Amino acid sequence: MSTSRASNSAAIDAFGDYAVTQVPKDQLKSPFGLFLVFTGVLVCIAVIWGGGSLGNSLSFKGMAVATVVGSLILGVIGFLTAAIGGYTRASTYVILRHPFGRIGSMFAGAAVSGIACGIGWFFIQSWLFATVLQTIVGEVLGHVPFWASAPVAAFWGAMLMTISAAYGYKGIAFLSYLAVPLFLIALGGGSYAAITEAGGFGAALKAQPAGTMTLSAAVTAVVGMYVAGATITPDISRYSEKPKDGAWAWFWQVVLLQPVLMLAGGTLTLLTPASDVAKAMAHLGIGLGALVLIVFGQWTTNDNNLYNGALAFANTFRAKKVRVTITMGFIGAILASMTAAGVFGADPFIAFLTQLGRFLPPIAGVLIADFYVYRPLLKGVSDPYRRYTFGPGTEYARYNAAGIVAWIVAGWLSPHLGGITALNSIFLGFAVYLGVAVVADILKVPMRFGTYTESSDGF
Amino acid sequence: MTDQTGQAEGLKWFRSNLHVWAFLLGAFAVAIAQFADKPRSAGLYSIIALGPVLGGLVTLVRYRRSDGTPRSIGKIVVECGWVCFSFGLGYLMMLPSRYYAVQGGVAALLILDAVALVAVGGYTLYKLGKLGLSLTP
Repeated sequence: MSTSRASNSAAIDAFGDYAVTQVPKDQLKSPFGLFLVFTGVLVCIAVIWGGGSLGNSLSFKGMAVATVVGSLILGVIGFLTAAIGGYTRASTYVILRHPFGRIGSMFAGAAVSGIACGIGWFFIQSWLFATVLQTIVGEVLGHVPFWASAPVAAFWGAMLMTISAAYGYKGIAFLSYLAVPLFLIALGGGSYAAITEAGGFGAALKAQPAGTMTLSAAVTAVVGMYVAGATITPDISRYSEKPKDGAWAWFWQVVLLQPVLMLAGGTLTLLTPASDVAKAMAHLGIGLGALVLIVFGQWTTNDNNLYNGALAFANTFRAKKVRVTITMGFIGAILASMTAAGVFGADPFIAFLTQLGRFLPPIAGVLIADFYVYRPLLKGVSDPYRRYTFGPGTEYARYNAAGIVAWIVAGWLSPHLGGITALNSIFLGFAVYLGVAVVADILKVPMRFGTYTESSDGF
Repeated sequence: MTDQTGQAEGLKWFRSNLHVWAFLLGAFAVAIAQFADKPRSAGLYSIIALGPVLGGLVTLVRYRRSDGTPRSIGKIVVECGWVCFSFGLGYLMMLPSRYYAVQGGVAALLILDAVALVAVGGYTLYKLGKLGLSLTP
């Protein structure tokens, strides 16, 4: 049995940041670094607001249960996908070349991560950053200077995020080492202050929410908020020194920190009509902390959106990743600035991205089914290092119908089944992939069409 | 090989002293924070200090478990440097706040301590970067 991570031979990193090749062993990163990068992706204003929406309808105890259960589910899903990244040292979209086929991976990656994360959510988050920044600076200074007006802040904010994403993993890791401790200090101090001034934790424990919500609906909300992140963990975990380092880093950051972030927003909502921790901090004279919360919170999350999107496009188009990143970042900056200026609203885009987002979680189901069940149990490839091979000369199917069918069916059907939509889509992706692949094997019906040979540069 | 020898030489001071500085500066901040007027300020500034205190202790444990090569020692030193740098900045971020304000003398000592943390961390990152070690280990 092999104990090293397999590849045919080393491909040349022609596109930068090992976008379409395996990460070399001398470039692998420490578990603490991976933990900080994953934490940087998690921590942002939207998660705190997500917790705030739970506070409208759940008691403190209900919120605590929902956030812990939801985070545990995310922890397990992300653990399984991140370990695949750790074993293969390849990005999500390169891994997809096996269960989706080479052309299938180009389309799937570009649709759900390139367009959705790299352009769509990147510009929406940049716009959100600008509107919150404008409010907080107005609160702190008493007026809004030109640089902090939403259309201007959206542009420079998006370009700032583009810079760290353009440096690839090193850029986002550098920022995470600097910003994550600062963010956690600001959030801890700010949340304590805001909750204490709003009545304290004792009052929060006794407070009754304005509305009602079932526990399963709350768990759905928690899982749905971050299931996309749990699906594309290999983009970060491919840098793991040991295969499961990234998986554990993912698990612990989401299980320990997501409940804290969401409870901070939820508790404040229970006590007051608003859940805006940053605004409460500015009001209490913790203005610098509030600014750090917004700037670094959004920056460390949104540069990762762009990073994921650029990795996906680099697997689709033969282009240097840094050029892809800068182009997407510039487009995102313009769109965010125009949205902030009121040229068009964000709602139609959010609706479109939400629909497209349904097609991301099934990818996790397909990957988990292929890597942990189909290949070891049905194809007899027990060594996890040998389940997927990459490198110049590797032959992939152009299309793997089992993966593509499972992906489309799961994404399409998942909202119509009731229960937790995100989990439906993962389970459906898992079941349909296995069903199609096994039946095709038994009936000897070909599922893999065409042949694509990897070139010397990994494309 | 020459690079490795140079790195080993350059790491020597940090290998012996950085974790001690991190621990002492953190412990000093905990002690000073106890003199803050407001209990909430004392609490916050003590909790922030746990970063460098634990960072120093964890670094010591990691040295004992490492294989001793300049690369592995460098990774540990860089991460300890980051802890000093970012937690020092954490003090400088929270000290100007009204809610967690502390009286003059305590504030001055905490600022000095924070500046020392930032300086020690920043110097470590600068020197290790010049030695050719990755700052994102």
